[in-house]
Amino acid sequence: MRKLINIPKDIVNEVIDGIVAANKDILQRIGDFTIIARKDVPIKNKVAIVTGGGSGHEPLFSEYVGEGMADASANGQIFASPSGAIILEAIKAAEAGKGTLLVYNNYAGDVLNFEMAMEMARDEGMVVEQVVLNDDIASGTKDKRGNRRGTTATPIILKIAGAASKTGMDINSLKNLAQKAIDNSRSLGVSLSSCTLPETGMATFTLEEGKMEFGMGLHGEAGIKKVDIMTADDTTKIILDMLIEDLPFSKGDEVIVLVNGYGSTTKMEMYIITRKIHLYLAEKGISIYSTEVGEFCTSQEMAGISITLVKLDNELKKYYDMPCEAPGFKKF
Amino acid sequence: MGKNLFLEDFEKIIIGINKTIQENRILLCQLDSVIGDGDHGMTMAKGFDSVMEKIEKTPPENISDLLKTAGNAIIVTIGGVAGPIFGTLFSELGRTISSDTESVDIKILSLMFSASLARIMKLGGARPGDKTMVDAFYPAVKSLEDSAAIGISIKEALRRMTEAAREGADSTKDMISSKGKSSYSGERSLGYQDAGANTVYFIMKAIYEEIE
Repeated sequence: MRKLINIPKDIVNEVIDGIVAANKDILQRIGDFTIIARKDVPIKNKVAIVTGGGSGHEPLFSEYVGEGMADASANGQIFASPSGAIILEAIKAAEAGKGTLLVYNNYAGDVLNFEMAMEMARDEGMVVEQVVLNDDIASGTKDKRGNRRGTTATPIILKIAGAASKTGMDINSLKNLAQKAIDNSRSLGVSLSSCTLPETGMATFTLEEGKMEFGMGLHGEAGIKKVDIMTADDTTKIILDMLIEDLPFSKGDEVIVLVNGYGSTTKMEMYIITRKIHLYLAEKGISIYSTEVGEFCTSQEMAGISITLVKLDNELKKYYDMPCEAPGFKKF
Repeated sequence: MGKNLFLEDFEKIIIGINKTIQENRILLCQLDSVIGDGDHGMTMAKGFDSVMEKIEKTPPENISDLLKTAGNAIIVTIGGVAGPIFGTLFSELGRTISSDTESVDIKILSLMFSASLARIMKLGGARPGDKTMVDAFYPAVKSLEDSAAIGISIKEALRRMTEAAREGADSTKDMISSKGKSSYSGERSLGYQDAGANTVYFIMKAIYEEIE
C-alpha cells in the first residue's frame, strides 16, 4: 500500500480536522462527532441541507459544505455509512426551524441510517425530508431506478438545492426541485485499476493490466463490461451513448457536463475526455451550458473517470447560476 | 431452569452476549479483514459497550424494554449496515411482545425470533445464500420454529438453534458475497466465512450458555 497515513483508525478524524483546518473561516467540526458544518449554522430563514455518507471519497461529502451548498455533512468510516446518531447530530446542528432536507447517495447502509435519523429527528418534532441520488446507470436497469447507486452528481444536486434553500424556498418545493435535478442526472464511469482500503492495505478487486471495466462502483462493485483498454475518444463515445440513451437526452437539450477523476487519473486525461464530450454532444445537437472538470468523488487511488450529464430547464439553470462557496465547489 | 424465560434471564443473556462479543472481537475483525475492512469485531464491541452503558444507567423494567433498549443502542452507535441490522435483531425481539409480558415460553420466543428475522430480511434485502448474517440467522430461527412446533425444552431448543447458526456461519465459506460491503470483493470472498454470520453464531452461543 502506498498511502501516507498514521494509525488507520484515526483516518476519518484526521481528514475531518484537516478539512476544517484548511477552511477555518467557513467550516467547523461539531464537537467530537465526524461532522463538518458551516461556521454560521444554524442559518435562519432557510431549510437546512444535510448530506453525508462513507469517508474515503474526498472531496465528497465535506468539501461541499459551504454557503450556497450543504449546511453540514455526516461522515462515516471508510466506505461505510455514518450511524443514525451522527446524522441526527448533524441535523440538530444545521436545523434552524424551517426543516432539514437530507441529500445522500443510494447505498444500503446510508438508506438505513439516514432513514433512522430522519425518524428520530421527526420524533423530536423536527421537519425532515430526504432525496436520494441514483444517477449511476450501471447499477440497475432503467425501470428499476430505485436500485441504482448515487455517484458523482452529488455536487450538482447540492449546488442547486443549496442555492434554492438560500432564497428561502419551503421544504416541500425544495424537495421537489432537488428530486427533479436528480431525475435529470445520469452518470457512468470506467475504471482502469483497483483501489486499496487504507485499513487493510488490500485491493478491493483486481483488474488485469491492459483491461478496463465500465460501470464499476465506487467501492469496486462489479461493472457491466470488461474490455481491453480503449482510446479516450472511443471510451467517451461509449459512455455518452449509454447516458444519452438512458434519460434519454435529446437534440436541443441543454446540459451540465461533469468529468470526474476517480483518484489517480490525471487532469491531462480528463481534458482529453472533455474535448471529446464537447465534440460528440455537438454532433448530437445537445448543447453544453457548463462544464466541470476535476475530482469530485474519488475512490481512493482508483484510476478511471466518470461522466455526469444533468439536463437543465430554466428553473434548474437559475439555481445553478447562483454563487456558492464550498471548498470543493465555488461559483462567483 | 423452568419452561419460561423471565426478565432476569434476558438480563443475563444480554450480559453474556456482551462478554462473548468482547472476547471474540479480534477473531471477528480477522474474519472481516479478508473480505471486508477488518473492523467488524471492534464495531460490534463498541455497539455492546453502549448497550451495557444504557441498561446500567436506566435498568429496563420489562423484557420488551430491555430488548428494545439494547437494539436501539446498537442502531444509533454503529454505522454502516451492521448497526441497523444487528440493532434491529434485538429491537424487533422486544417489539414483538408487549411491555406487560412478564415471561416468555418457547412458542413466544420462536415468534419473537421469526419477527426479527423477517424484519431484518426486509430491511437489508438479503436472502439465504447472499453470504450475510442471514445465512446463520435464518437456519437458527427455522430450527427454533421447528423446536417450538414439536414442543421440546427451551434449553434443548437453544442448543439446536446454536448448532444451526454455527453450521450456517460455516456454510458462508462456500458463498460469493452479494450484499453489504463484502460484496465489493465479489468472487474473492469465496473460501472465507462471513463475519456477520459468525457474530450471529456467537450471539446464539451466548444465549444458550446463559440458559444452560
